[in-house]
Amino acid sequence: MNDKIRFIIRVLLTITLVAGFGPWAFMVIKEGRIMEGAGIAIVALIIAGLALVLLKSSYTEIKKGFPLQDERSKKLTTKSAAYAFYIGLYWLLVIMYYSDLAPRLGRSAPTVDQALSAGIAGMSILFGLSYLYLNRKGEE
Amino acid sequence: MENRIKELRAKYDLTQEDLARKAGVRRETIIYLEKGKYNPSLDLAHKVAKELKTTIDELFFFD
Repeated sequence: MNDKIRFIIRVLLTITLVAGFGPWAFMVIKEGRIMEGAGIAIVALIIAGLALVLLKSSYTEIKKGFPLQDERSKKLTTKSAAYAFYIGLYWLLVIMYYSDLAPRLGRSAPTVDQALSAGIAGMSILFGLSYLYLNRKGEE
Repeated sequence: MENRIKELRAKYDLTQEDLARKAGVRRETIIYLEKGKYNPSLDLAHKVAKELKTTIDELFFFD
């Protein structure tokens, strides 16, 4: 696949992702869950900010004639995904344990939406952290 | 695994950017290659050796 096409796909995916948060935050705020809605909006802004920085960097690289991905970046992405998956399994166990424990602590158990969101957010963060760690560490 | 990439780059007056562009990889890959923090595939090792007008054996070696 051509690097320009790959870049356009990344831009479209980012727009779709960030745009999806808008109606979600709106619906949550409309239900009276102001803090939660504000949280969703803040997360959307952070993702949009990070995405802008990464997309700008990718665009600059393509303009200079460098590929969007090469063997090293593909290897890093694959390894990071593997780390995120394995560590993410433990994170999901923590969420399940908390769902069970919460009522006993006098708190309401998270809803399915909240548990799913926490799971997905956790795995995404794990992926990012793994990528940064493996990028810095290198193959020694 | 050690390498002579930096030495040969300097000999042919190539920046890391130039070498990355010629080898068809990102700059970071050449940076990490030089530092010995990345083990290239045979294909990449061959491309880099070709751009530096040497062989894989002469370019990469074990201590």
